[in-house]
Amino acid sequence: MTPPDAKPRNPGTPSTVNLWLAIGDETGRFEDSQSSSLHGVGLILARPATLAAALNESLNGKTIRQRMDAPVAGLEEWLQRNPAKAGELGRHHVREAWEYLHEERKVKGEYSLGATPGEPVLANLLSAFRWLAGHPGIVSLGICGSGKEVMGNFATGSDRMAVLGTLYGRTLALVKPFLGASPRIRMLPGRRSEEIDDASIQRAGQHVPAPSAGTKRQTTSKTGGNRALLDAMERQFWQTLASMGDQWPVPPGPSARQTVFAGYMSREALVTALEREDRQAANLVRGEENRLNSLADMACSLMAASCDSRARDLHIRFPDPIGPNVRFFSASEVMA
Amino acid sequence: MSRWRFALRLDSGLALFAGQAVAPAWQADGPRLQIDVAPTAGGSSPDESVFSALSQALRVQSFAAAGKAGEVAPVPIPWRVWVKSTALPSASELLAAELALELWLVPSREINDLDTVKGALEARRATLHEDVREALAYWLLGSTHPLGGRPDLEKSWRSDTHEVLVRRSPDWRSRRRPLEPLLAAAQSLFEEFTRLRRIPVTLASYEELADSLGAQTPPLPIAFRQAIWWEAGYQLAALGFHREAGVATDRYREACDELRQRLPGLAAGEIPGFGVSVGQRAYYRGDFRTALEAYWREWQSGSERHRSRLRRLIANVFTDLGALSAARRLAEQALSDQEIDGDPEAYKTLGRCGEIALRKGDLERAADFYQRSQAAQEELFGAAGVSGRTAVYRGHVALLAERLDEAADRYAEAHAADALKESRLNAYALMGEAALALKREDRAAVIACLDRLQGADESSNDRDVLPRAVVALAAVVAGVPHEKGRAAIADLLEDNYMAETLMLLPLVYRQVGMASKALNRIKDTLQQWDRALAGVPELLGERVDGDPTPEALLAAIAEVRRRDSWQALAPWRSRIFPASLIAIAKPPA
Repeated sequence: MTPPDAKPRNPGTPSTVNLWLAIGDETGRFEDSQSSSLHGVGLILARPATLAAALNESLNGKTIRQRMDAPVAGLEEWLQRNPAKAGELGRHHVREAWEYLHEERKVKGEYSLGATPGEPVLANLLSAFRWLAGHPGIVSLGICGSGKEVMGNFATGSDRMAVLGTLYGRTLALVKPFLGASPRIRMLPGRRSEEIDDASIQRAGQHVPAPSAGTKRQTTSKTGGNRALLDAMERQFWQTLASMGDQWPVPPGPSARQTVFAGYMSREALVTALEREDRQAANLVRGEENRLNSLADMACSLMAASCDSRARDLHIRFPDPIGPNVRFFSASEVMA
Repeated sequence: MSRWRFALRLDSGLALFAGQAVAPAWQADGPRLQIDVAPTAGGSSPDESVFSALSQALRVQSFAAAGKAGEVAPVPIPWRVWVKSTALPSASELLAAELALELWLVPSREINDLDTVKGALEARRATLHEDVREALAYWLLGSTHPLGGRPDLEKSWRSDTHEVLVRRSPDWRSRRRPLEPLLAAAQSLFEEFTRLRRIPVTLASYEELADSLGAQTPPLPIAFRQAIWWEAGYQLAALGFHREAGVATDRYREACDELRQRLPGLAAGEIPGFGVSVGQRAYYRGDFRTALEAYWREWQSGSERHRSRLRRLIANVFTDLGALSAARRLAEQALSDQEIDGDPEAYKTLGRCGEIALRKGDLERAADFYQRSQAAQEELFGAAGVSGRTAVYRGHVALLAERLDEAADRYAEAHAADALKESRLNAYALMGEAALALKREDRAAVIACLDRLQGADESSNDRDVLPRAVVALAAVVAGVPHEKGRAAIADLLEDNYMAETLMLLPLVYRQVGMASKALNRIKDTLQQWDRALAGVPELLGERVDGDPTPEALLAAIAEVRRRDSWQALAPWRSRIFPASLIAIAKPPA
């Protein structure tokens, strides 16, 4: 975790490469493919320089960097009272705010995105959402639907990692034509773990190391899941572009394809790749990964809050469109 | 129905990408277009787009376009999230674009660019109403698509245009009385064409038609002028008025040029009938290579139902080129089709079959074809309306069959038939009479024929070079000075009667060496014709030994020169008509 007072490292020489960074996150329990609750992936997409500048922007007296290094303002005391949640004190994570508002504060009713409620945590959360939704340089994208909609329509079998990769790949393919000449997209999906006895782990028949004591989950970097996600993501990315006939020809060689679009499951792998093409971007990811992950969490939460149509006792009403650079797709409109 | 391409503008709606133009090429199938007479003319246009202006221009002419089932290619599922309904061409836009193609306002391509068509129409917006009127006039006379809107048009307009303009019926009738100005003018045109096919005509007849139609629907559409001068060229040539036919054909070509300039969609392809017109003119001046090229182009671009007429025209050229077997095959195919189809010009094909049989020496068969042709003409025009042309050929057949009295009767019959319709002397009948007199060794009668022909010079519209030369050469055989014969030979060469001249040379030149210049000229031209035949192998088929083709005649010339004797021509004399009427084994002393 990056310390709250960390300063940006040497930004390096700005690159002339048309580089875009995408940071992803997911929502929903992908273990239940028949679930009616909301599932999906969300991501932020921006040029590295825009992201670097965005972290320095000020929101209600604090920089975004500072906000991303701490829980939603007002949550600290509640988190400190819950030893199980102590790990959330150093990052901005929307799920804890919802839990607090719902269980601790019993907040009910409907609020608009532009509202300034008296409840400080809710007010701060809405303020952060408004900042992201209104940002001129950061695009928030996502695909969501019920478990059945999201997981039932693709040839990904029961492999949840492949489902996630498919969703990311399609989302990014849809914006690729708008990214200007010779764009390069570098994607960092959200980190994940899976249960080691999950059928999907049998995907490669590979050996999975035993998890730490007291848990049955293992990080996907050790289960083969990362590879499944990246393969599905890249395959879906190019298939989606190719679905428009020969409008956007798929580069014939894997190397040329990787130049245009590549995904990485760890900060280290992404940084290593970026070192070769954009030092500033490499530095950004090396130093700010957790903050970028929190921004992706906000985008994904914005999607969940705006797209989940189930009856809730606490409901936020979003304008349409939510923001100038926000677009969340329902799985039924883009994944059929 | 055409295929269309357009720029599919994708709109992400995301502010960050607002400046990015993403517009992949996309496709649509145009609607199946139907042009109908409109219930009411005019009406104001709901918007100012050029496609709307085009539809409006159509309505001003009392026509309207409708279409079914135009369809934009479906955009794949994920991508349609970026497609706003305004990014897709509307049904009315596709219909108007389809109309622009149908009316030749823009060139038609395998895949047509919607934006390009829109731009092209925009560029000619100032003249759009005039252009649409011209295009509609051409469409009414030439489209194979049905015209609808009223029960009297839906099934009959296309068949009527085919009957009048393609089959050239002399007895077409219609009780239709359309009110729409263009349609009414087209109807008048058809009625006048039909009438003029039944009476003696000159170039002036068609000039009067153009003037009166122009007064009825000013200004006279180019397509109407084009149709009038095509018809005039065809009809006047059929009547033997080749000079006037040439004038008409020149006017026809001018009209075609104007149409192509006005309607870019016509520029790329052939205008139906153009090759027939060009080919006929070339045929009559003995330019067989040009004639074959023109007919072949028409053959390739035209529809199957135009081909029976073309088969006869090509058979005409093949006959003159001596490719008699190919000519016979084509003519008999044409005849078979025309008889099934009830084609009013089948009598011409019967005449062609008769001449081919005559040239092949099958006189019985020739007589039968000519008899059938005569009967068909009498049925079509009435006994008094038939020209003397077929009677002349029947006389030739009788003459060659040594039925001399019958031949005399046929020639007299021909003169009598023509006298009912025109004052011109039938030079071909006189040619037969001169040959008959020669056969009867009545030298005075032969020379009398020459005198009659020379006295008829001023009343003849055309030079009738071939029959005049044959009469002059018959007179040489009968004793008039050889100078007359040399002049006739020169005239024949001038008009490209090469095979005929070759057979008639011995009548004027006792020694082969004396005809060396003429032989060289004949040889050069025969070589060109041989190449012309080689250029249409699909039509020619297998070459047949015994046909007096350029190749065979070139070999004969070589043999004549090798042996320094005209005797080498002997096997061919009976095959080259009409030289066969007077060609004799030994030249006069």
